[in-house]
Amino acid sequence: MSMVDEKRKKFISYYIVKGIKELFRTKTGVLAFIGMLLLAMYIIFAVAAPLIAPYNPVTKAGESFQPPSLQHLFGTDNLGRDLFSRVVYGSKIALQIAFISVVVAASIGIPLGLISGYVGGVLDRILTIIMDALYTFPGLILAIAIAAVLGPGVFNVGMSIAVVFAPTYFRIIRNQVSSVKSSLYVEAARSIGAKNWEIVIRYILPNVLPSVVVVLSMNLADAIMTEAGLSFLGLGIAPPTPDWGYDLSNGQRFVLQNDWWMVLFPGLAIITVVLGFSFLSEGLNELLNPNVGDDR
Amino acid sequence: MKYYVLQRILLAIPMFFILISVIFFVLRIMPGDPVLAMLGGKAPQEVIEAKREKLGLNKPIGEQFVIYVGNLLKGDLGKSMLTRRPVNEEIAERFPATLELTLWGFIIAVVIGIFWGSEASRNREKTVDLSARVYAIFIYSVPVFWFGMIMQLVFGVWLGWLPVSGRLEFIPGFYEKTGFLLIDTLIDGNMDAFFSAIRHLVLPAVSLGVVISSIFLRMVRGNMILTLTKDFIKAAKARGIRRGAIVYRHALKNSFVPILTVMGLQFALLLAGAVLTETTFSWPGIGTFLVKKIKDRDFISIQGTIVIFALLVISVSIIIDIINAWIDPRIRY
Repeated sequence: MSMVDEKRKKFISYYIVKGIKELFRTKTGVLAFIGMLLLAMYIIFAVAAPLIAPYNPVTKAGESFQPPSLQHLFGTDNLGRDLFSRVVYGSKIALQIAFISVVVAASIGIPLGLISGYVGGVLDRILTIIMDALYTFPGLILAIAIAAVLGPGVFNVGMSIAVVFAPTYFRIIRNQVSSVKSSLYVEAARSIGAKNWEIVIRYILPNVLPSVVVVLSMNLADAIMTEAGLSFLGLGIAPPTPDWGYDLSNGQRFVLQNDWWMVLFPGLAIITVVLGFSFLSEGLNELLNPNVGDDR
Repeated sequence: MKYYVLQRILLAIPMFFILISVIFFVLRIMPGDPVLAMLGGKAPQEVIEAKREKLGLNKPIGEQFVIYVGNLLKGDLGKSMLTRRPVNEEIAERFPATLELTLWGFIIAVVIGIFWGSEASRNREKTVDLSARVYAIFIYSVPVFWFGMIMQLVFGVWLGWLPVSGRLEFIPGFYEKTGFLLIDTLIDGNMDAFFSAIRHLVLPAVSLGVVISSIFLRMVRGNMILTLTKDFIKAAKARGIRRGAIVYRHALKNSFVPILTVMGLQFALLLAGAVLTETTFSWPGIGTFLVKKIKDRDFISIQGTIVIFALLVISVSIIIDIINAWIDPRIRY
């Protein structure tokens, strides 16, 4: 390696450029890059919504039922609210709920999986059976039931989606832990006198965590779909908070009078953000498990 | 085979029991209060207590659970808190509509998945394969209710070809018998009603089928690619068997067990999709029933509907396992 390269290695930008170059080597890499761009756009929407949205999303901004125009890029809804502003603000709710649900699901599923896999025995049996039962059940329907009990709200919806996803993390982590539990490096750790919790946290966890990353990004996509489904059914965020699923169910009331823009744009927002996460997880999957790429 | 079927059904009983217990406890542990939710925050304390006692919610949770399971074993899902009718009855009325929709959705998804997936797997990196991959990843991101609405817009509003809601328009002299309208209308010999039922079914079934098909397509393609690299395929090629026959007769048959298993798992997704599709198309099935009961805050009915969904998921998994055992005798032993 030349001196120049050595010097460049000190800068973060070197790694970023190298990472992007690496990405563009494969088709999935390009997909992952597109995914990141899409997600970056929605994250900017979510963070800087007041700067980007031209109108207040919850108040009347013009005539009702206006088709898309320069004043109202995505048209207006039945109450004269600007749909473009609602879509921009809606990304905040969608991303918030997605992150809450995935973080909660992972922080329930991963520790339980670690304990269950490491301890084994009766506890493991019982936990596995419960998690398997939750896993086989239709996720949306379970989320509907829980959301119905909890009532609307960002945190409540996040929680009801989290319950649906927790078994996924549990299953992955538990299976990995029970297979690495008997491997040499765990033996070695034990022989130097590491305590059980040290073995689990410091030795096993870092080794099983990468397998969760791909699922994490895929779950973010699924969480957004589930959230949209819940609010479409009237179980999500209480109106008038801008929310894509709610806007779709609102738009559906006017489908027959041909107000297509009320349905089209919130839907496209859901699709593009979900695509963003799917692309990203395809790329991550290839990066983390390079050899299976060809078979899929 | 008989032994296997019996064994599979016996194994399903604990699974069902665990599932309903998990549902029961998840719904009870959650911090929300069904009675408060039903009566609203302003109800006086005595009214809330009275309602709680009437529904048996003031008893200890263990006792509630025993009563709930006992009733379930008798096949009793309780009475609706609002209409006072048995939940079983209300669900039974709406069940055929959901079954009709999911069945046709499933058929459409399977046909798209198997044919496109097989064609994609034998023509790797050609147009049919690349388009299949793009289709799968895009359709996976499309919410079924949004797709349904776009179909309503295009075929219902713009072209005016198909109705956008309900199962049948009013046709004098026609009465439901089994609740499966395609069968009922044929038994009646009422062709007007038959075609009306088909026209109402097209958009919801296609929306559901297309959205689910992306997963089937991926799965068929993946499994077929693996199978096509096996030795017996090479042997079949060497014997000079036509490529079409190799793909559909040899390879497809051999990748069927994993495909069928995953399809069984996707049935849960199909049911969830049906809830959304039914809502989009005002289809009078269990999905719209569930949504309506949630709006009414009728928790007995909600719980009952969910138990029915659990029962459906388990029955399908039994059926899939039995079919698998029938296709591949190795599973039986």
